[in-house]
Amino acid sequence: MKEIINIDKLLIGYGPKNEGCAIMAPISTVVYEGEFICLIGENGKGKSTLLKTLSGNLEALSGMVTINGRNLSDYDNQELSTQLSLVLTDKLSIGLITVFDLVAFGRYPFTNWLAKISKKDDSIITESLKACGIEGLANRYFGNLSDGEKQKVLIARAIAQQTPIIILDEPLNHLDLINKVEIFSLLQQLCRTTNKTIIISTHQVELALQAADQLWLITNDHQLSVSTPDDAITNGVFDKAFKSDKVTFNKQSKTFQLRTNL
Amino acid sequence: MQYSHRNKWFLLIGIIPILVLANLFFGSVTIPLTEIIEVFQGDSSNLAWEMILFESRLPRVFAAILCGSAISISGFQMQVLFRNALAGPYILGISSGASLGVSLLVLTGGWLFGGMFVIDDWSIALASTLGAMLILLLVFATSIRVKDIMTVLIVGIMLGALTTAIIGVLQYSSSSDQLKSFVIWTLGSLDGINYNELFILSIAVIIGLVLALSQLKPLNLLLMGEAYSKSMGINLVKSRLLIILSAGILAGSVTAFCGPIGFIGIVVPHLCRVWFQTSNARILIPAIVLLGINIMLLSDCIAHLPFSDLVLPLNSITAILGIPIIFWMVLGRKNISSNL
Repeated sequence: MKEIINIDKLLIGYGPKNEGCAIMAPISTVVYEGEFICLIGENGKGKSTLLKTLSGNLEALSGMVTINGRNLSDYDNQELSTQLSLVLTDKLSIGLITVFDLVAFGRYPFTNWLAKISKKDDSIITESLKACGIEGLANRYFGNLSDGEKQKVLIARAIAQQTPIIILDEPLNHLDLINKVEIFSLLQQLCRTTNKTIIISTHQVELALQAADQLWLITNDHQLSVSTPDDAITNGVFDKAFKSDKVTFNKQSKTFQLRTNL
Repeated sequence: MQYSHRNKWFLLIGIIPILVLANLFFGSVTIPLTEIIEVFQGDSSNLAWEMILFESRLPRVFAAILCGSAISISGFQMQVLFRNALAGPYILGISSGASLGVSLLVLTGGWLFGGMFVIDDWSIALASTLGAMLILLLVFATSIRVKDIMTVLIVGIMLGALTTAIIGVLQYSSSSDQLKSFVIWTLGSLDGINYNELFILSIAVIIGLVLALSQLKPLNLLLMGEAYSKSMGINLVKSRLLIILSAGILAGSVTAFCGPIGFIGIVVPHLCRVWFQTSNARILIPAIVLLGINIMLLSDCIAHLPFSDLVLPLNSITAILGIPIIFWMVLGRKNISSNL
């Protein structure tokens, strides 16, 4: 397996560049091509900060991120846009852009300055729509779609960008259960069929346990624990990360249960 | 292709010659249509009519075409950059800056510039350009220093308020003649522009429009917000600067020669979005240029009040045309911001 992201003693956080601002212990790990990685942890633990740093939207306090053998800070936006695409959690309000046009934005790193869509771009866009099962929505306006459909369009856009890495920051928020499951399996499929590396932050721990190749778990003592889902359950980090007197984790069924029901 | 706007393009382009002819035809002196054609063929023997057409009405037509396209595109850029439906070409204080320049010149009777200037169209244009450039530079410097675009907006608006205050002081302490010539400038007019001025204006407008076109991708991607734009390869600082520069050149040059022209810059982009049902800059930019030209020609035609020798202030016409459209958009549609 080819190494695609190398994270070395990375310190993340906001503010002046010193260790006092770090919100997590130093992170060191390696990501391989085609891995489906789920980042889980409670709110405010640094999931978004980590993903922002990895996607080049936030400078690291110290340490290094290497993408495809090259230092992340050496990439300019244009170069990075061919390596890494994003799906974010914020709700977008763009009324009068069709789904096709929005997915076509994903081709912008490759088009000329007038954004001319070539035949090749056109077929990549169509394939991306198909991969997400939304080819029927192509001529609809983005603003008129349901939340689940919108999220699929944004994922299709990321696919159209044809980057080896896709980073998704809580893409399942605002969605109902069916849509959550659908999008999760869509992403897992994408990993398997196209060998893309996908890093997704989510609160859907149970889905993550079933689907992830690697689990990135932010523990209560601000460490990033990296392991396979099974290891995470057996070695007990899981209990540590989600400690609560209201809920308990059932290792056999891999689900959470309310303590009152026990 | 999902866009077949063929008829709309034909209409937009087709009406322009009719409006041009109307602009040539209407004015305080009535010249028969057949004579207009003869003058342009060089067959006319009426020197007075030739003068009126070539020295007054034709420059006005060119001015309307340049103004209409420039001011509308500049408004579009500001709306997208600030994600604000009511943003227009003057939101960053460009018109206030221009007004400050002109008021310093007119209201102090050229005294401030050491009596170097006579107050004529040229010196007014120069003063206006300098004033607009000053504000633009300050906004520019801010946008390099601060990351948040809304801070830039606030700085622009505050600078505008500050210059308005200074103008107030100047107005208060100036003579009524000076006051009148300043007020007339603020009412906007396409009259009295000559070919030299048109030449300079057209160069500025072409540069501004090419710059605007060069930022077509950022103008589209910014609809998705800054994080997404960056992830699709946009250099935010550079694009922001180029968009502000382009809008500044467009609005500033028009204001210099024709005064601040209100409402066209806010209304035309919205009308195009609603009519073409898209926010895609690839379609909007040409559509806004064409509709801007049409509406400016129409406004100037109305300002020259057909069948009478009165001339109305251009800014009143654009406001009377524009404000009902804004009402219609704000009250009639659920949410005009989401169209951005």
